[in-house]
Amino acid sequence: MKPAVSLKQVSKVFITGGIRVKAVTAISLSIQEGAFWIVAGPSGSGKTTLLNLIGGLDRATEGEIQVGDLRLSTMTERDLALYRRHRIGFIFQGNNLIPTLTAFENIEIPLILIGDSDRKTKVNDILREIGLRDKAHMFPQFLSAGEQQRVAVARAVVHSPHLVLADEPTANLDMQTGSDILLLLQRLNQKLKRTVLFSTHDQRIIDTGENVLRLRDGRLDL
Amino acid sequence: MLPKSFRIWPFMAGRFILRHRRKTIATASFIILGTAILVFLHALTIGINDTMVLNTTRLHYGDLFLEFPEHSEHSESIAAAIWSERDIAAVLFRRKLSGLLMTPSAAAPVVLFGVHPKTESAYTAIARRIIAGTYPEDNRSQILLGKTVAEKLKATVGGVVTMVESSGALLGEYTVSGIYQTEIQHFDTMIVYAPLSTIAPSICARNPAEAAILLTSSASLQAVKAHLEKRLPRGASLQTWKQLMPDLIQLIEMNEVAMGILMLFIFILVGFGISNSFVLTIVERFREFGILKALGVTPRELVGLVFLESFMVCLCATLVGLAAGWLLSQLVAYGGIDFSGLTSHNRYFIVSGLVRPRVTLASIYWPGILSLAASIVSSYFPTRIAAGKVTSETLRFA
Repeated sequence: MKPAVSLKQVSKVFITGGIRVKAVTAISLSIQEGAFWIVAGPSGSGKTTLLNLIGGLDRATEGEIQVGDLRLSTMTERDLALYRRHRIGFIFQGNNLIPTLTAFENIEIPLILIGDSDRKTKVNDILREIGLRDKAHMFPQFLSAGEQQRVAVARAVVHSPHLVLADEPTANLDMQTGSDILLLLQRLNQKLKRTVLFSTHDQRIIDTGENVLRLRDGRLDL
Repeated sequence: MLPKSFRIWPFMAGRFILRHRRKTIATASFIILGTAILVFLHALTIGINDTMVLNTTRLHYGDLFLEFPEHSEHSESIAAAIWSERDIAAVLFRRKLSGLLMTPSAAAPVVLFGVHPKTESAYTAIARRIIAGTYPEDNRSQILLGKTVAEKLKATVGGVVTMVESSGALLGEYTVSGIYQTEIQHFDTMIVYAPLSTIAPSICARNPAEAAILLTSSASLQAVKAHLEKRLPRGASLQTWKQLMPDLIQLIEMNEVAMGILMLFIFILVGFGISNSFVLTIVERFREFGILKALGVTPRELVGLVFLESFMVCLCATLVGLAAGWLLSQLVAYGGIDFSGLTSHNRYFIVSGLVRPRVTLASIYWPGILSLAASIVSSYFPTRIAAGKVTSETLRFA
């Protein structure tokens, strides 16, 4: 099977307060299309940086990232934005949603961006799928943390991206709600056959995963 | 044809504006206030200039000042004909005689204007500057003296003075009907008024004739002048108040420059306020912008979206500000602001110190453009910063 994501000797260096910090060092990996991978590691191990690099939110200092047929290092800011628009679905740790838009409108954004004329139906369908049809027109502040993350999951998958990048989406949730989010993503992965990278430092979630990518101090822990 | 995604931006921008209601109102309030102040100040400048012009033209010379050629026989009938023309409020025909005014104890050189008392007192402001007695009545040998002339002659109301023409011919004896004071030296020391009907036709014929023409609207000044010039006899001279009073033009220009500078300062002050409001709003929304960028909004689209938001807020607020400024000017114009107490002995406020702000096209145009420009420039740079930031950095804003 063709790899959905491939990294070759990828490193990322940040300069913070004049000090060089290597967030990710010489990572090489290949992820198959439609797979569900857990990116595991303690805080500061480079999980977020790795997902940001794959998602085109940051640029690698060294190495090559290829997603499908796209080489991210050669792409302009605009191309990277369009790449995220069409191919990537992001879920962040918290404060994921735009507070001034309702749940429905938050989910609608990716479809607006790709110019989908059938967006109302699609948003309603996915709201039903995540069990929030009755809360479609509520603002994020009136949703629980778990409900907000479910909306974020829906927004990440509604436009059928090739790759879903979930950066510790369960970190701020209780165990039960975290499990629900994980199950929701696994269900959507199986149903939609989309590649998912799910980062976490929660050992209980890591233990449930078949494909686990372990990071330590910015390196792959093999 | 615009790309499909572009067409949703105004909708998106509108949605963000409505949802950030408090911030939108705060920013809009600054713009409304600034624009309204600019409109009012401009209208006030125009109002002050109007008052100065009105005070000057209504005192004696009119909007247009007509001097007939020497020995013109039909000058009075021509003046009467002009009065029936469009945009003419009044034509005040006069004869101008130079001579010596005497009492048994003193003499003073004067310029006597033979006038039609009814129209003259109705349309000029001299009658309103009478400090003792009344305006001369028609067909009666009465004279109105300036205060300084009266003091020189030691004349009082009811006293008798004798007027001798500069040629030495005796014009006649006049009873002082009133004394006026304009505090304009030239008038108070030189100009006296008597009914034209009391001056013999033969004397009238050898002295220059002139007419002060008052218009219904100052806007038609040049058009009326051009129209009348075609119809006047050869040798007649028609001058606008602008030609007659270059010092007033300079004063108006200085007034406009001074008010322009004041408006510029207000504009800068308001601009800072708007800018501050936009910066705060945009910085607060950095994470929101980060999420949008993560979802695939390009930097240019983000600038466009925020710019569109700002533009929509600015445009609406500017329009409301223009309306508020217009309304404020109209309300103040209704009662007027009395500058009399602030402008003692100012010849340009001698008749009336009442200023009525007047909104012109420029009062709307300039404040509108300035306000819109300030708002757009103020919103542009913080937006550029937001769009230029690395997306992952923007997302770190909580």
